[in-house]
Amino acid sequence: MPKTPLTDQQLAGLIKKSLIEAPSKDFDDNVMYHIKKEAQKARSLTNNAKISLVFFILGTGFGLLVSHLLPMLGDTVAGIDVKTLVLVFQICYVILILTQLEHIIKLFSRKTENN
Amino acid sequence: MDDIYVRKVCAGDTEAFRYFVEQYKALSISLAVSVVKDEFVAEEVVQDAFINAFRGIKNFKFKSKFSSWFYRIVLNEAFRRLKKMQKEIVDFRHSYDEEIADESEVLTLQQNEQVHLINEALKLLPARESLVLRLFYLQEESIKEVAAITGWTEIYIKVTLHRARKNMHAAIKSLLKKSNNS
Repeated sequence: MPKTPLTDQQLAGLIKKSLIEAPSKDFDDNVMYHIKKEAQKARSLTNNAKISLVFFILGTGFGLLVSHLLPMLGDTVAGIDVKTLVLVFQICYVILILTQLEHIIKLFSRKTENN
Repeated sequence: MDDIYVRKVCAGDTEAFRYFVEQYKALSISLAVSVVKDEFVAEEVVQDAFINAFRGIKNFKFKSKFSSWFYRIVLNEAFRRLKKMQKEIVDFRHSYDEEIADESEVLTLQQNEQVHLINEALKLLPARESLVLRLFYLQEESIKEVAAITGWTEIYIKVTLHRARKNMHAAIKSLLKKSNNS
């Protein structure tokens, strides 16, 4: 009996039947569970970023206000020279601003990456 | 239709993404199997691809078909996983003239046996050949569309397709011979 090779059309017909279904029956639900988790993560990241920004602005404003008002209290506060107090406060203020600013930038860049 | 659902997802309707899962899972898994050669790994690949597509859906510019954009994500993920697995897929190189079984026997098999044999034959082929065959015949994409999905040149795809057809004939013969012997 002669050996007949498959024609391209027959091969095409056979390959069309080769669609593979997902081995897990709950594949759709699994994917949607991860998608919903991802959406929730993105939402909470946005909220966290907003809250952080608000507190950062409030803190910066409060710090400026305090360093402006402190010298008006007099020469000493609780036996400490006001100039020393202002200097200590300003050093703390600058350190906090720089470290918190870095955190805020990181948070926003994470948010952008996620988007 | 896809565009409507893309807009819905971008507007915050997460559940609308289910449409894409239902629509594209089977072909995505078939494409991923072409690369990773394992159904369960392919399933993980496609799951990751769907998550990546969801994360990046706002970057979809409607310039291409959603399916092409998504299949590209699937293929990137599949090749990334393949590299990670460092699985050695032995290239199937048969002598094309080797007449070891009557290929047309496959047409006399039952439907489920045919599907099994074709999938096994596709697994024997190198990733790129199996991928091109599935995209070209299963998805009925044009050479141009296959190029858009894979990022390969049209000439390379034509050459790969030609080689893939030849290797596919050899793989079918080899599998038929094995099943006849057992």
